[in-house]
Amino acid sequence: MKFNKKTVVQSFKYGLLFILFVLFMFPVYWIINVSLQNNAALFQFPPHWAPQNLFIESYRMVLASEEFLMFYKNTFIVAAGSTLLSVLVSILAGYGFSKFRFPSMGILLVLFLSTQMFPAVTLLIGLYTLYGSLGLLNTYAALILASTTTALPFCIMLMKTFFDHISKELGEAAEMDGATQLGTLIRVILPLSKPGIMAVSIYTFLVAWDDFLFGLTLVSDLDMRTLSPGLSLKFLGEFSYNWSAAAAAAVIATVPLLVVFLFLQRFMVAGLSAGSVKE
Amino acid sequence: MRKRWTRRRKQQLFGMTMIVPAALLLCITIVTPLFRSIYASFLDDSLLSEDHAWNGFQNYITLLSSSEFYHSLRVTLLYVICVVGIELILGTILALLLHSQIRFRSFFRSIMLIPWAIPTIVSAVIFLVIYNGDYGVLNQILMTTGISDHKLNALNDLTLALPAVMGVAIWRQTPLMAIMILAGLQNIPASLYEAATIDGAGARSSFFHITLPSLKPVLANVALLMTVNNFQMFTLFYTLTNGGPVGATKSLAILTYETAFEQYDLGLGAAIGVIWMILLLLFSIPLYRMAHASREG
Repeated sequence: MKFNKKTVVQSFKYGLLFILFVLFMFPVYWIINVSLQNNAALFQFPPHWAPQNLFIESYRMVLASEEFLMFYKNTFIVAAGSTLLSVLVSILAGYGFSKFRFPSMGILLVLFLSTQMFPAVTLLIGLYTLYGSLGLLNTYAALILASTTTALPFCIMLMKTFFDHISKELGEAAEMDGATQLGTLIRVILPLSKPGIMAVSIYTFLVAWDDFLFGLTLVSDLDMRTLSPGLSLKFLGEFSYNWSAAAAAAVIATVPLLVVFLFLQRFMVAGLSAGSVKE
Repeated sequence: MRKRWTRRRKQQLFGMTMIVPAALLLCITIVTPLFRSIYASFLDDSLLSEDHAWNGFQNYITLLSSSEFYHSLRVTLLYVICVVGIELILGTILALLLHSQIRFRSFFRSIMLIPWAIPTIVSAVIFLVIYNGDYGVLNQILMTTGISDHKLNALNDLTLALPAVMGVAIWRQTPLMAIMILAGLQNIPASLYEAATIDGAGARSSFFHITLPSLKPVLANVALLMTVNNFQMFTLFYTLTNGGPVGATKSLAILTYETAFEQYDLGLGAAIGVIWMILLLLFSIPLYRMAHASREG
């Protein structure tokens, strides 16, 4: 009797897992499938569940398109710049919030965190005129600043929690030995914080790579365009009937993220678990 | 005594200095534009106005008496509640499955989280192709399984467009939800379950008396994160439907964008943005409290 119940539970569990697996993976399979067919094969109903003949011309075309490569380069510069800036700033602020007690610190921290509540479209109205008067429109700096601050509140919280868990005595011991405060942070604390730093980097990189709204509005020069608005303008508008190329471009735009994600995912889980659960 | 006091002061000063870069950054890109937007919401700042004069609460009055605003508010709230609600349930189920003893667990853990690493714009491209009314595979699936006897054009259908957008959001965001809930599950001490088993508690009772209460702060936290993100959702609405058909998916984000950047009425756009922001804050406070209160408890 007991054995029976266990098998029922087990098969229910694997059944559910299978359904979820298909639901979440099918769209990924489908975009790859579409990217490997030509448009003549795609504009048929019913659709082909797998490519009849492998068609890689779309990949060749997208990778040979100077425009697309420029979108790609711009996105990479913005994402890398945002990641560097965000890691640097959130290490400093996280350490400041974690190790030193000063007046009204609690209020300051809540203020920092609450900035992520303001709708980006609302901010954009002020941001657009502000950047216009600062001459920042159509620059990498504008996009880097925008993406960094989008990710920053979460990153500061994550770093603060990480530092909270690193033993305080360790830092004090280093200071007894005559190390400066900055020296303690760099030589003693940082080497122990790699998972936190990785998590902050991945998070910021993903946020910056995913940006659409800022890239759409703060940049109008074609050679400053990033991938998201670039893909939208190129493939969702006038060329919306080149599915094969749109799918190939979409796949290529995702590859760097998947690589980052699959290799560094365990840091992300460790970092998130420290940052969002404890304390 | 004095020496110790100055050392403490020096430390405090050092701590505050370290926060300065972050504070400066947030000031440049969030605080200053925020005040500029709030200020703009009290101006007659449209393309037709000549002097961008102060016009008090006129924008707010126009807004609160227009049915368009209430429609967008309804669309946004419906979208946020459905998406976050479904994600909480699906995310918890997925996290529990990935936490339990299953074969190829680490494989499933990596692979199931992939949608989250896919850029939003790419998920829009994927689902535009899947949902397409003429050649989309969704119709093929619905028709072979007998759910529908004719082709549907989900994104162009008054009643189906909003659920179709929700589907994309749920598909992309649930994995992140699951990863965070999974992290929460891993932090529940095994001793709690052991004690419960000794006391004769079954699986169901353990779930409701240990797992769920321990997860409460995590669930409140992820619900907060997803509420904030989805309240702001712009990319999917803009790329999948651009507010259509006939405004069926015109969320506050689209309405604000259209008013400010397509009709160039920055004043009215800013007013929508400000009201929207206040609503978001009101919405978040209970979730924030819940995440916070149970952390202290």
